[in-house]
Amino acid sequence: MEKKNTSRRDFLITGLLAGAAAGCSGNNPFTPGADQEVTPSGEKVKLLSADGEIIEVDKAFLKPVPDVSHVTNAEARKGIAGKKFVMVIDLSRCKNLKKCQEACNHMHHVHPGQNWLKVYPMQDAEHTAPYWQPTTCMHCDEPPCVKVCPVDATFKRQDGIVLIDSNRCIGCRFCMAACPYSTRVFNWEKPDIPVEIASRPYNCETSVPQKKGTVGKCDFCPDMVRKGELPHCVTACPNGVFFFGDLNEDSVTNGSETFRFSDLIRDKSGYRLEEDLGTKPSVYYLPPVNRNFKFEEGLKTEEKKTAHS
Amino acid sequence: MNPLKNKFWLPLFFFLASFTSLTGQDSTVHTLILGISYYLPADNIPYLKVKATEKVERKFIPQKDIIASVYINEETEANLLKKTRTDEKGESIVYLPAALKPLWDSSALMKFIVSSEAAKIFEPASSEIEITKAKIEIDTSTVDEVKNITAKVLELKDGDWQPVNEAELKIAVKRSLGILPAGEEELYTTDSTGIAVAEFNKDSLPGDDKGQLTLVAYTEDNELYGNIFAEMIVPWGVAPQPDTTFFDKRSLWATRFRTPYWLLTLAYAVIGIVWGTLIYLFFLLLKIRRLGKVSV
Amino acid sequence: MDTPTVLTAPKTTAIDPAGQITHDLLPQPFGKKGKIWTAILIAICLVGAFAYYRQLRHGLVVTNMGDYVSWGIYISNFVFFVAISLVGSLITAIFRLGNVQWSTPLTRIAEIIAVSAIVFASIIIIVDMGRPERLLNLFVHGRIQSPIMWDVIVIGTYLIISLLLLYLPLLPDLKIMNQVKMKNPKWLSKYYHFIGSFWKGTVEQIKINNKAIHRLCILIIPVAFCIHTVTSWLFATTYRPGWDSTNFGAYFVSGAFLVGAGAVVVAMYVFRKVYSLEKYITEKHFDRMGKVVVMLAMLYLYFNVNEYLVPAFKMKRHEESHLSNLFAGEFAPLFWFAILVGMVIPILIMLFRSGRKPLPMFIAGVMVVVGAWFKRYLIVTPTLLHPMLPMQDAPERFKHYFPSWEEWAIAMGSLAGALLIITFFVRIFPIIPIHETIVEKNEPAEK
Repeated sequence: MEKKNTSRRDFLITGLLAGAAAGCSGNNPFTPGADQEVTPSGEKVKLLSADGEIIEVDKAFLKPVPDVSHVTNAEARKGIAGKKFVMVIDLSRCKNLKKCQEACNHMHHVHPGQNWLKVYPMQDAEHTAPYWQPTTCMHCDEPPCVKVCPVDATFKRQDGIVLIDSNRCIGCRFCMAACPYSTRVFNWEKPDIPVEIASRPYNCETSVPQKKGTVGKCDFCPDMVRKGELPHCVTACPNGVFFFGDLNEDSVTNGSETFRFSDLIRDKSGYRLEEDLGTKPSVYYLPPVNRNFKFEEGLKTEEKKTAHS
Repeated sequence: MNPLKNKFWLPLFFFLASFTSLTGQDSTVHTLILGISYYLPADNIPYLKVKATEKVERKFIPQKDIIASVYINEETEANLLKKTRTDEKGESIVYLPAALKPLWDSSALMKFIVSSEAAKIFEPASSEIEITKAKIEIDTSTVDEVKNITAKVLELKDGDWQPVNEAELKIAVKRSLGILPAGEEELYTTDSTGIAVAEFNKDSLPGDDKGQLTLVAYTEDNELYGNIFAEMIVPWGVAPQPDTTFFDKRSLWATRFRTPYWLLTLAYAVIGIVWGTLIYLFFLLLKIRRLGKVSV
Repeated sequence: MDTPTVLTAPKTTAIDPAGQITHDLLPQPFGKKGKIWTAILIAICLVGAFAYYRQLRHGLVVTNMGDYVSWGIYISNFVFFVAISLVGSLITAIFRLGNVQWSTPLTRIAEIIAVSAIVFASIIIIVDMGRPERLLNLFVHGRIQSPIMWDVIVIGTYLIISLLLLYLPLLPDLKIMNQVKMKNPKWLSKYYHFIGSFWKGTVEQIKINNKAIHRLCILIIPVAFCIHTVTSWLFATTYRPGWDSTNFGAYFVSGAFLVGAGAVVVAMYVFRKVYSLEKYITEKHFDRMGKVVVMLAMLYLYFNVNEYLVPAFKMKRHEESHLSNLFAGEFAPLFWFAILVGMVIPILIMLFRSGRKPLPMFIAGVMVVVGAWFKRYLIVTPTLLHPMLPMQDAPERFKHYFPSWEEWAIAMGSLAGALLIITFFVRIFPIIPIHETIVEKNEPAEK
C-alpha cells in the first residue's frame, strides 16, 4: 500500500494533469483528460506546493485539455477501448422540465422543432400511474438500425455507442423504420444552424453539423466522454434524473451523485424498454416510485411550449 | 431662452430615455457574480478556481472572457497573484507562483480576493475567501475481514498540525466519470482526534486492470479549509473483464467486413449461380451473333 | 415435348403466305390518339421532373413525410412497381415452360410491362433517397447484411434477365422487320439493323436461342419470387405492428402476381382496341386470362384474410390501434375500397363467363390495378402512424400524412414514365411476337 507522503513525486505528474483538466470539468478535480496525452513543451514554470516547496512543472500541463476534434473516422468508428457505456434514468425524479432536451438540442444544433431526446407522458395501462419518461437512443447491443443500414453509415462501437456517419448516410431511412423506439430523426431540409457551426469540419463523435438528407439521433456525447465529462443531458437536468457511466466500472453518476450500477438496478428494480424485442438496450429505467410531486405539474411545460409555438 | 428650455425639457428627456433604450443600453442592471474557491488536490499543489456567473431568471449563467485579478491577503499591486480570463465555462484556474513562498510560509491563514473591473455590461465585482491551511491523511486497516478507511483531518495551528473536530468529509472511490461513496454514508464527520472512519462496503468493485482502486477522502467547499483531497491506491477491487471480442465478432449488426459466414455463403452462392448462368447465357447470345455474321 | 414449341426449326424461316400476320402485327406510327396520349404522358413526366428538381434543391421537406411517416408514397409506389414487374415471369416464363399456347400473344406485353416497371422501381427508389448523389456508396460500402442490399442485387439481376427475355424472342421478329419495307425514319431502320441483323434464322441459331430462352425462363422464376420476397422483407424485418409478420413474403408475391395479371389484362384490351388486333388477342384469351386472374385474386384474398384476421383475433397491444384504424377508423374507407375494388368485385365479375368478355375484363383489370395501388399505400403508411412509443415532442405536421403536390407529381410522373416506355416500345417493336404467331398458325398445317 503506497502512502501519499512517500511517493509524492509519482503523483505529481498525474496530479498535475488532473489539476489541469480540472479547469474544465465542474467540481470534480479528478477527472483526468481521459485518453488525452499532453506532450511536454519543454518550458518550465515554478509553482508553490502546500508545504511551501517550489515545484517545477512543464507549462504544457497547465493548459486546459484541448477539444477532441481531431479524432479520425476510423477511431470514431472503433470507439474507446475497455469501456461500455450505460445510462440509468430515474423516472421517480423526472418532472418534465425538458432542460435535458434544451441542452441537447442547443449543443448539437438540432433543427428547431425536432428533438433527439424526447420526454413522453406515459401511462402503461388504464389503472397504472402516469409518469414522464425521457427517451434517448437506447444504444442497443443488438441494434436493429445497424442491422438494416445498407452502407455502414450507422455502426456500433466497442464502447457500446451507436453512431451515425453523416458523410456516408444515403438517406434511405430504413434505420428509422427499423427502430422500435422512434428515436431517430431525419434532416428533411437544410438544418437551421448558424454559419460558423455549419462550416465546422464534421465529426461522427460531435454529430455537428447535421446535414440535409441524413439521419440524426442521440449519440451519448462521445466527444464529452473522451474529455472525461458527462453528456449534456446529464449535466443539464436540475433533478439529477440521468445517470451515466461505464458498465465495466460498475458506476454511474449524474454529476453530483455516483452510485454503483449493479446496486442501483438491483435495489430500485431497474428495467429496460421493450425488452421483449431482444434489442438489448443500454439505457435502464428506475420505476417511478415514491414521487413527491404530481405528474400533472409536468403538464405546465407542455402548455408553455404550445404557447410559444 | 428660459421659456424654450422649459417647454422642451420634458419631451427631450423622454426622447433621450427612449433613445438609449432603443440603442440597447438597457436600464436593467447586470450583476456579475464572482466566486473563488481553494483546491488542494492529492498532488499537494494548490490552486484557486475563479468562477464568473450572472443570475438570469433564477439560473446562474456562466460568463466567459471576464478578466479577473486574484490577490492574496490584500488587494494591492504587490499582492497580485495573477490576472486571468475566464474560459467558456466561466472558470479559470490560478496556481500559486513560487515567488509567493515567503508570504505563504508566514501564516497558516490566507485570504484570497478576486475582483474584476467594470467591463462590457458588468459593474465591478469582487469576492474573497479565507483559508486555513489543512491537510487530510488517509489510511486503511482491515479488522475482522472488514475493510476500514481512516481519514485524519489536520489544520495548521501555531506551526503545528492539529486534529480538526467535527469536520465533514467524503470518503469515496475514484471512478472515471464520478466519485463513488466508499461506504454506506455519503458524509463522515471527524471526532475529537480528527479521525473519521468509513467501512468499505463496495466489494468486488471493478478497478484498474490490476484490480486496484483509488480511494479518496476530501472536503467539499469547506468554509475554513476549501476543497482538500487525499488519495490512496488499494488492491481492494477486481480486474474488470471487458468483452474485447465483441467488436471482432461476426454478426448481423457488425460492419460489412464482419458478415456472418452463413450469410456470406448463402448470398454469394445464390448470386454466383444466378449470375454464372446469366454470363453463360450472354455468351450464348454472342455465339448467335457470331453465327449470324459467319453464315452469310 | 420438353422443348418449347415457340420456335420450331423449319427448313427455312417461316414464311407468311399472305403477309397478313406480318402486316397486322408490325409496329405502326402513332395516329392522332397515340400522339395525344404520348403528349399527355410526357407532360406528366415533365411536371414530375420539375417537382423532383424542387426536391433536390430544398430536400425531402417538399414532401409531407415526417419523422414518423418516414416512408410515403414513393415507397408504396416502389412496392407497386416491383409487384407489377413480377408479371413478366408469370406469363413469359411459367406459361412458356408449361407449354401454355394461348399465352403467346401476351408474352411480350408482359415482358415490356415488367421491364418498364422495374426500371421505374429503381428510379423511384433513388428519388426517395435523401442523398441520391451518394448512390455509389451502396456499391463501395455496401453491407450484405442489409435487406436493402439484397433488394438492390435482386432488382438488378431481374432487370437483366427481363431484358434478355425481351430481346432474345425479339430476334426473329427483327429479321422480319429488317426484310419488310416499313415507313420508318432512317435512324429507326439503322437501329433495327444494328440489334437484329445477325439473326439469320439458321437451325443452329434457333437451337441456341431456344436453349437460352428456356434457361432464362427457369432462372427467372426463383429470381422473381426473390425480388418481391426481399422487398417484403424491407418491412417484415422491422418490429412495427402490421409489418412484423411472418406471412409477408407469400403475401407480397401473391399480390404481385395478381396486380401483374391485372395490368396485362388492361394492356391486352388497350392494344387490341388501338391496333385492331382482335384476331390475335381473341375473346378466348380474355376468357382464359380471366380464369387466371380469378385464381390469383382468390389466392391474394386468402393471404389478406390470414394477414388481418389472425392478428385481429389476438389484438396485441401495439397492433390494436393499427388494426382498428384500418377496419373502422381513419383508413377504413381506403382499406375496404382496396379489398372490395381490388379483389372482391373483380372476382365476382370474372367468375361468370359473361364477365370474362373483353370489356368487363378491362374494367375488372383496372379495378385490380387501382385497388392494388391503394393497397400498397395501406401497407406502408398506417403502420408508420402507430409507433410503439407515443408521437410526442415532434412537430404537429409529423403526426399526419397526406402526400404533397410534389409527391403526387413525382408518383404520377413515374407511372406516366412507365407507360411512356411501354408506349415507345409498342411504337418501335411488335407488341405481339410476329414470328411465333406465324409459326403457331402454320403448325396445324405442318402436323
